[in-house]
Parts: sequence; C-alpha cells; structure tokens
Amino acid sequence: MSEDVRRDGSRSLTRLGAWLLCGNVTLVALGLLRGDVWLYLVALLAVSAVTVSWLIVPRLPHIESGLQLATTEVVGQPTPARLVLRAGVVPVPRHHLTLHVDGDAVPVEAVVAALAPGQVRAVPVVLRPAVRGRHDGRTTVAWTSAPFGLVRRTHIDRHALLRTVAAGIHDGRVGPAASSADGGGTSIRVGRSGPDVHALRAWAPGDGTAVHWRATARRGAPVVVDRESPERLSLVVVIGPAGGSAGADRTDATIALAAGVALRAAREGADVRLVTAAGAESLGAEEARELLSWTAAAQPVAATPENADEAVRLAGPGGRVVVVTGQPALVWTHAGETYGVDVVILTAAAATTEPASPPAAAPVPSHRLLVATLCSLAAGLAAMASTGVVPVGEAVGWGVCIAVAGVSVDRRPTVLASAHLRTALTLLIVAITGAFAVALNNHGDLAPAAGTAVAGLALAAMVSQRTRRDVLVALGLGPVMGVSAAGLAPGPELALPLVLVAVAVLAGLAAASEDSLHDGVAPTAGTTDAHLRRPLAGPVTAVIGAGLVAFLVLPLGAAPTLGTSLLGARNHPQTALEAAAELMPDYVSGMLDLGARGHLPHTPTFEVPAGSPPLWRAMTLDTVASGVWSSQVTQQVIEAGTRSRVPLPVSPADLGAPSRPARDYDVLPIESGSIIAPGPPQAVRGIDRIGHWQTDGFDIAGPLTPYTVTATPREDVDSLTRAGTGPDRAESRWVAADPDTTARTDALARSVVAGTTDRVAAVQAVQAWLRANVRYQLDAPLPPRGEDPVDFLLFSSRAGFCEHFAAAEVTLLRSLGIPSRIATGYSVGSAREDTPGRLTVLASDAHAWVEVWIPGHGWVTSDPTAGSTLADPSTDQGLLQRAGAAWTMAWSTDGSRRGLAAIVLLLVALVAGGSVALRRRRATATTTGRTSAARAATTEPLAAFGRFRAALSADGLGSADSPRPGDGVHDVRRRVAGDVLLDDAQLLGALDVVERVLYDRAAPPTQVRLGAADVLDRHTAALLARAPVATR
Amino acid sequence: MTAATLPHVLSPSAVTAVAGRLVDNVSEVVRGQPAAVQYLAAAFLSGGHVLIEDTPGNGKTTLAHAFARSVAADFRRVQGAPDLLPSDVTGSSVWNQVTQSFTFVPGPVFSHVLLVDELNRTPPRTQAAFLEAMEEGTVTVDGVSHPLPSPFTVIATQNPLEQHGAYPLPEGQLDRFALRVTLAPLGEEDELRVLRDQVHHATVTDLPPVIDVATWHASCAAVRQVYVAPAVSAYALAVVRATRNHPQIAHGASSRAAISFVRTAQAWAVLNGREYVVPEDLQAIAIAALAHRVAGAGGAATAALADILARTPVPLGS
Repeated sequence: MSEDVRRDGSRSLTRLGAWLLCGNVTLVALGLLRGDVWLYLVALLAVSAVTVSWLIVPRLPHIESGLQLATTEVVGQPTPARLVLRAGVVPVPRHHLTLHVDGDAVPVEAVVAALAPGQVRAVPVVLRPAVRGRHDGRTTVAWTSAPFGLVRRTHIDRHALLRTVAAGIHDGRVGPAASSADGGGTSIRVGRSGPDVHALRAWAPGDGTAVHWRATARRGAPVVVDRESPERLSLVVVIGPAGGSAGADRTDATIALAAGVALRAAREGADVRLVTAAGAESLGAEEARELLSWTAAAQPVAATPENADEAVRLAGPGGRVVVVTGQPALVWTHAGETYGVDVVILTAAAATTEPASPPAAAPVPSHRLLVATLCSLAAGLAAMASTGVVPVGEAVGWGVCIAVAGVSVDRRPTVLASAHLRTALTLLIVAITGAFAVALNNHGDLAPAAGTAVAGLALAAMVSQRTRRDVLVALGLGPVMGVSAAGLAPGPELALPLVLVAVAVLAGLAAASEDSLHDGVAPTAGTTDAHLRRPLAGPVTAVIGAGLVAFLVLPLGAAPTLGTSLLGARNHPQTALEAAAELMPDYVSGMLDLGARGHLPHTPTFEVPAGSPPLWRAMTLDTVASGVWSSQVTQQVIEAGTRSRVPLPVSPADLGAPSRPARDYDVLPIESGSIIAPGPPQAVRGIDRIGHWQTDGFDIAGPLTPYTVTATPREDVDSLTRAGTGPDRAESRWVAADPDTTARTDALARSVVAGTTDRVAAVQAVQAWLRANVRYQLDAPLPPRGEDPVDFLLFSSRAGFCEHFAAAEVTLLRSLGIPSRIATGYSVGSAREDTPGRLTVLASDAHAWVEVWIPGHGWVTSDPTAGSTLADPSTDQGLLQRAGAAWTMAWSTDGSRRGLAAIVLLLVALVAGGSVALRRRRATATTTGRTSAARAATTEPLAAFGRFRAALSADGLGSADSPRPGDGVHDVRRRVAGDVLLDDAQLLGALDVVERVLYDRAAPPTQVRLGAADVLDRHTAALLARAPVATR
Repeated sequence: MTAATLPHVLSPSAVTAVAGRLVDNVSEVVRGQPAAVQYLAAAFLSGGHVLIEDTPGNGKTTLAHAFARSVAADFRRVQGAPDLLPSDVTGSSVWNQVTQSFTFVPGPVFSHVLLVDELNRTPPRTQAAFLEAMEEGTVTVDGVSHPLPSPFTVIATQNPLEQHGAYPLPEGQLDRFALRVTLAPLGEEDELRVLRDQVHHATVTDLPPVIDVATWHASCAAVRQVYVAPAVSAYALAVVRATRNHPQIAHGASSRAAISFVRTAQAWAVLNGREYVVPEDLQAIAIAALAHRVAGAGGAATAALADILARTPVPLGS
C-alpha cells in the first residue's frame, strides 16, 4: 500500500463537524476581539483538534459497489443481502462502511477488510425493513470515522450497480456448467435458442435489404440468410429447486447463475422469459436492471411435470429452455422431448463462500489510548489542584484512584470482568461523588463541588470503561477539568496543566483514530502506519506550539478572564466590603474600586420627576489610595418624624453658588435606599430614620417610602465660560492625589492643559481630552493587580466606563492642584418615562462623574463620560465599531501591540503552515495518484479496443487475414458497419473516443474514456458470446 | 507573410464548413467525382498544387475551372502548347517609351489560381518556368524576383494517353504537385446528368464564388494548425520510407513528399471534420499524394503503395 491509497477519495465534514468548526472559529475571533485569553486559548485548541482530526483520517480510494439481493425479502423483516465491492486500480485499506439509501439514515454498517486492486468481495449485510423495496438508487459511501463527527467519503459511481452485479455473476456465480445437455463444454450457449441452422443463398429481387453483409463481403455477391423461423430468438430460463438439504447459499448460487444466463441472453438480443414460482416474466435487453428485483423475489419452481410442460410450451417449438437447478430431474428433459424443445439443465456450482468478516466486536482501547487518557485526566486534576478548585490532597487521591482503576482494568481484565460488578461500582462512585458534591455546594463551595463532581465522573468512567468509546469519554473529561478550573479560578498557573491536557487529548485522539483502522487486526509494520503518522505529526506539533506561544505572548493580566464573563468572579479573594460594593451599584458602601466591575441589572431603582437635571447624586468620594476611592465614614442615624422636613447636615460650601435656588423633588425609591438629588440634599421629608454613613451620603434606614428631597441643582462646567472670583477650596482631601499616580500621568495633565489660564478652561480641556481619547466600554479590561488604574486607563487600555473616566479626570485635575472629587449616583438622561411625569431610573443607570471647585461658582459637575455613551448597554456600539475600537486600542499601547502582532503572526503562520501541508498533500496526490489514474484511463479504452478488435477477428467479421498491420480504428468501423449486433451509435462513439485518445491533442475527459471502454467491453462480451454460433 | 497580416484566424470547424461549401459548390458542376473534388479541396486548403490526370473529355478542365470559380480570387489560365514560351507564363520586361526604361508586365502566373491545361504539352523550358513559381511563390525575370499573390495554387491537367507531341513531366516537376488526381469513370446516371446539364451551355460559367481570398488564406493557416500526433508523424514517415525500400519502386519519395503528405493529410482531416490527423487520413490520400512521386510506372506504383499501406503498422497505442 502506498501513497496511492489517498487517491480519489474526498474528505468532508459532517454537519456536526462543520458546526463545531464554525463555532470554534467564532470563539477564537471573539476571544481575540475581547482579549480574553482563556476563551481564545480553549477555542484555538478546539479548532486545532477538529482540524487535526480532519487531517489524520486517511483517504479511501474509489470503490465500486452494488447490492445483491439473493434471497427473498420478507415484508417487515430484516433482509440478508450481499454488498459486492470492487476495488479500483489502487488497494483499499480496511475501513468502516456505511450504506446510504437515497440519502436516508444509515441502514447498514460493515467493516470491510483490505482489498487488493481489482479485488471483488461480497460483504454480507442486513437491510432493515425501512428500506426494503427500493433496490435501485442505492449509493454506498465508504468512510472512516474520525473524532468530532468528521468523515472521509469516497466517490461512488451511482451507476455502479449493474456493472457490479454483472461482475458478481461472472466472477463468482457463473462457473463452467457442471452438467450440460450440450456435452459438458465450458461455455454455455444461450440466447440463440431458436433455429441455429440457417441457410445462405444468393440475393434475389424481393429480398429487400435483408442482406447478410458478412457473408456478402466474403463471397463478393449479395447473400441473404434463410432462417427456418423468422421469430426472435427465445429463451426460457427456469429456476428449479436448489436441492433438498441446500442452504440459502445454494439457492443464491442457483438464482445468480440463472440471472447470469438471462442477463447474457438479454444483452444478446434474445427474448428472455424468466420462470419462477411467481410465474413467467419477460426480460428485455434494456431491462437488465429489473433482474435485480427479480432475483430478490425469485422462488424456485417445483420440478413437476405440469411446470415442466408449461415452461416448455412457453419456449415454443424450436425454442430453448434452460433449467438452472441444484436437483436435476428428468421431468424437464421429458417435457423437452415431448414437445421437441431443446432443454439445457445447468447445475449451479457450489457458491464460493466469501470469508465472512468477523463480527464487528466493540473495539478495545489500545494501551496508547489508555495512557493518553490517564495523562489527560492527570493534567486536568493538576489544573484543578493548581488553581485551588480542588485541594491538592483530594486531587492526588482522585489521581491515584483513577490510575489504579485504569491500570487494573487494562492489565487484569478479569478483575472487573463482571458487568454487574462494574455497573454497581460505577453507580456507587457516582452516588458517593454526587452526594459529596451536593453537600459541598450546599455548604456554599461551588468550586470544590464542581471539581469533585468532574473527578468522580472521571473515576466512574475509568472503572466502567470497556470499549474504546468509553475511554474516549474519559479522555474528554480531562479538558472538562481544565476548562472548569479556568472558569472557576483562572490564573496563569493553569498554563502548564492546560497545555498538557491538550497534548494528551490530541495524542489520545490520534491513537484512537489510528486504532480504528486496525480494528481486530494487528497493526502491520509498514507504510500504512507511516503514511498515517506523517500527516499527523506536523499538525499536532504546530497546534500545541501555537497554543503555547499564544498563551505566552498574550497579555494575561490585561484581559478579562473566562471566569469573569461567565461567573462574574474576581481574580482575587473578595472582602465583605467589596462584595457589598459589587451588590450595591450605588456605592453606598463608600468604596469605589477601579479594579473591580459591578454588575448592573436593568431593574427599576427609583422614580424621579421628569424634566429634572440629568445627574442625580447619591454621594461623593474624595479620598483615594491605590485606586480605591472612599469618603469619610460617619456612621450616624438621624431620627425624624414621618411628616416633618428634616434638614440634613451639609456643609454650606457644598451648596454651590448661593444665587441658585433650592427646589423640592419627589423621589420614589423602588429598590435602593439611597437619598438621591440633583445636588447636595439640604432637607428631606417623608422618612422616619435617615442613615448618614459618609460625609454627604444619606440613606433610608427604615422601610423604603417615597420622600421629597430639597436640593440645589449643580451647575455643569460646560455651561461656564470662565471662573469667577471667590475662595478656593484647596483642602488636602480634595487635592491630594493617589500616591500611586505615575509621573507620566502628571506630565499628561500638564500637557493637556498647556495654554489654558482659566480653571474652567483647564477643566474643560481635561474633560475634552478624556472624551476624545478614551473610549467608553462597559466591559473594558480591568487594570491588572498592582498597576495604577488611572495610568493603565490613560496609557494602556484607553477604554473604561464612567468610574474610570471620573477617576482619571479627578486624578489629572488633582495633579494640577485643582480641587475635585468623584460623585456617584444616577444619570437619568436616558431614563424611560413609564408613568407620565415620572422617570424610571434603572440600576444600570448608575453613573460616576466629577465635581470640581470653580471659584465663584462653587462645586460644579463635570462629566467626562457624557461625550460618549452613557452607562446603558442597550445603546452599546455595534460589532463593527467595537472591532474598530479594539483595533485602535490594540495599536495605542505598546503591550497590546506586541500581543496583537504576535497573534497576527501566529495566525499567519498557522494559515501558511496549513496551506503548505494541504498543497503538499495535493501535490502528492497529483504526482502519485492522479498521474496513474490518468494513465489508467488512457490505457483503458485502448486496452478495451484491443480486446474488441481481437474479438472481432475471432468472430470472423471482415476478411480472413484481418486485421492487417495497416488496419486501424477506421477499419474496425468499416467492419462493424451493417452488423446487426454491433452497428450502433454507442459503439461508433466509443471508436471515436479511442481515436481521440490515440491521436488528438487533448484526450477526452476520464468519464468519457471510461464510458467508451465500457461500451467496447460490452460489445466484446456480446461478440464473444456469439462466437460459437459464428464459427459453426 | 507574417501572422500579423493574416486577415483573421478561423477555427477548425469553421474551416470544415468552408471546405464543405467549396465541395458542395464544385459538386454542383462536377458530377460523380466526389473523391476528386475532395482531393482538390484538400490541396486548396493545404496550399498545395494539383495535377489532374485523365483522358481528354472527362472533365479535367471543368473540375479545375469549377474550383477556380468557387473562389472569388484572381484566376488565370494557360493553355499548354509546344510553342508556349516561359515569358508567356511569367511575363516579361518591355521597353517603355515614356520612361525610357524596361517595365515588367506580369504574365498569367501572377494570380491566385492558375489553371495550366495540358501541362505535358509545353516544352521542358516552359515547364521549368513553373518550378520556381510553384515552390517558392516567386517569379524571377531579368534577375528581379517578383512575389506571387498568396495563396497560390496551380491546377494542372495532363493527358496520359496522347504521348505524341507531349513532353513527360520531369520528376522535379512532379514532386511539386501535392496530389495527382485521377478522375473516376462516370456512372450511367451521372453521365446522363452531365449530358443534360451541359447540353445547353457550360454550367461552370454560372458557378458563384463561395469563398473569398481572405477566408481561403485563413483556412490555409488554420489547416496548418491541425494537430498531428507524434505517432501519426512517425507513421507518415514510415510509409514514405517504405517507398524507398520497396522492390517495385525504383526510387522512393522525397522528404518534400513526406512534408507535403502530412500537410495534405491535415487538410483531409479538416475536410472530415476533425482537428487532428488520424492514420486513415494518410491512408486515404497516400496514393494521390505519393504515387506520382515514386518512380514506378503507373499502376505499379499504386499497387506498391497499397501494399506498403497494408504492411505498415498503424499506431494503436500498444
């Protein structure tokens, strides 16, 4: 077996495989866009696995196939049949085979042993009742299976049926007649059952064109044939009983021999009638296809004098009856003698029994696969242990159990031989593990529960494994462990275990795929294995290398992790306060961590009057340390009567410009207890107990009741032109910058405000710079631990949400010495007006902005986010904008640029490598397979032409000494002209094709050539069948 | 002539159609001679010259005339006679009183189709005047070469019977004819038709031209492109070489004969609607193309060639 094995097959993805590939590619793209390393890595490995599995399956060469329905079909019951396969010019390796009927589901599966070139083999198959009754239009598809639902199909000739059946009859079923009335010759004369003796006489007027051209040419004068009977040649083929104790095989042989005789005679133009128990049926030359249904339904005719008489009468005087039977009886000959009809009795040779394929036992996993599976599980456990999903001790315990189970099942199959024992053990393990996991989960430890459950499943799979499929399931649990670990607690320590898992899984899949080709046979050392391995080694290495490099170059810390997007988990342990901050989007906790991301549901939180200012403040944050903003905690409760208006302790300076009047606003708190107002709240009415937690943050300490708050709306810095005169509030808590602030942040601040003299202008400049240069993105990458969030925002990610914008502006302003602070609350600008006059504020409307002190105006608001989209995901950017923004972002910083460049390079390398590999495969196919195929197709019509020419000479058509060396194609054309049997357009067309193959610049297409060869061979067969008559 | 000046290029199928028109047109007048008409058409399309040999009165001249008329080309006729001089064919320089110099006055050879009737009745000197014209396509008079129009085809007739006052054509002259065509005896029906057709006037004069010079030229160019498989070339050569060893042939065909043989076969293939030459094409024209070039009188050469064709193996790819 050589490279040729890969010729002429085609590979294709099943629908499932195609979906898998598409889905994984999408995930890769998504991961790339989001900068999500885990998503990216996992999807990349999945894509690679699909691709590799596609590549490793060997191609199957062309196989001709056909179905022989040799026994009677019984309605509603499985029908045994024979699938006849014939290899083409290249050997066919052992393969699985499915039979598709008109695109229906797969009714038949079989394992076909290797076929030598041109070898014919019959595979016993069983047709299910669902497909009975449609004997034509069957298409056989041979395939080898691969993981992920990928198959390789071979091209099957749709019209191979007749040829194959004919081949089957000739090759295995029509032997030399064992007993023949003609005297035991090796050939049976069929077809010319009528008057064989004919007289030649000179042409006379009135004979018309009924000239016997051959004799005319020989004698040089017109000659006609006088036949004793002008009727068509008629032949009656009777299927007699196969014999008393004969089995189905003998019956098959009888029917097939009868079919062969009938087919030959029909092709020769005889009027053939088939006699079965069902009666007589006519079979014309064009209806050879019907032979199939006939053989399928054939029932032997009993050897009774009545039947014999009937058959003989059917043949008529001068006709011929061929009785094919396993039980020669005198009744047939008697009847023939009585009516003067030639009766030939044929006994079918004992059917050559094909060695039946061994029953396809469930394939046993190989040691390689088992080792790969154990490695995969071990790596998966390591992944879970390294991230703390499962305690290390527990992981080691699981590992030992799994290894012991796997090795003991492999080494000592007798230990767990009893299926009941295995089932019981498996159930026990699943039950214990399940209970344990449920207990852990109830305890609140989701991660260990999930980890334990997966590990328990793995152990159960190893204990119960018996077939390859079981082991493949266990193999797949390794990645499940890895992905679980990545989802529950992502971290860089996962890198090594994940790569190991990938390696183990790929190796396992390769082993399984290779094993599937050697099911039941020992792998022979030789080229077969080599040609399977060669395409495997490259892609696997490339894929693992690519995954590893991708992991190493991608900036891990800068990206949100798989876990974040799936579970909202954090990559460091949470404090209770942080947890509270996350659950309370209005920052009542007084903390704002720029390194965290809160979840903002679209639930109604407040109702405020319509037409009120857009920014409703809940509190301000003025102190910053290491990226966490907070305000002074006061922790006091103000008691008030429900009806009374309670003044709130607000510093007068907070009230802003004294000229602006205070207003009352009716607020309906729905979900949050914060007291919110368009400015600092001065008084509130309608609440019993007011909690005063921070400097200027207030809260309803009791049940949520509607309240009226009095406040002076803030001015916005955009509405100012220049600062007035007045005191500056350069207190330390409003100008103290984060000690972590980097020098380049200070430098940026100075460069942004360069040229401005007025504070309003400076603030507007900073605000404008942020609006122009930082992109608003709700799922912007979070700053890595230990890095200043503002620095990361300004110089690395250039993307963030409102908190980041506000924090950045305050940091920049403070580094310029401008008093400022973060205000948090709600932006009602985009809120809906569900009830007339009332705006429904959602939790997702939560917002953060800046309050800056402008002399002469007091605290005014500055919203650097306002130029971008507000915090409403429904108005999020489209995919294209996001992709564009991601691209811009990628090129705006050094680190991302490096990462992206690496990714692009990797993709290019992958594509290049893949295309090189494909091209090489194609080139190999071209040089080895295609050329030999072309050569075969070129020689085939020529060889057929040679045979036809020889047959023609044997037949005596033309002159006695023909062919002379100088006689070519045209001579053949001349010789067949006028011959009843041969002078047809098909043959002339075939001769044209031969001529073109020989002399034309470009040979005709392969199909045409093969078709011509077919036509020629058919005519050769017809000529040969006629030969004895002609020589008589 | 270079390819750039070719009027247009025809596809082989178009040439087949052109040839079909030509053959049909000529057959309107020349009855019962399909083979001769085909041979002449092949010679026309391959740019070769034809020698029509038959007894007088069987339509040699009508055949040649019909072909010449079917092409809307310059057609001249030279009647062979013992006193025909070379200058009567090629033209000559005459003294021009006005310019006080010799001016070349072209003779009848300056045409696309030249019909030379009874070629063997012209003296050898005059026959030699045709040699350059037929092979080189030029005429040299007084040391000046005058190119002939292209394409240029000579259709000559000769009468093999009447040897009195005839000058047998030399081998060199014969070798320049691509084909020698012999007319078949007419059947009774055909002869009756000819009689009826021609009794009032010579129908050949009514024959309309069916192709123009440009088409003819393009057809010739297309015929040259017809594919000759290496095996077929080898077969042609094998036949030609076999003539040199055949006992009944004194001396065999030349290399020029081989070239002309294959070229004519190309035209024959096109006439039969093919774009490639098959050995049968060569077999079909072998007698016409080679018999007059091998030394072996009349029937002997033909029989020898038939023998060669039967013995030379046809390439069948095995």
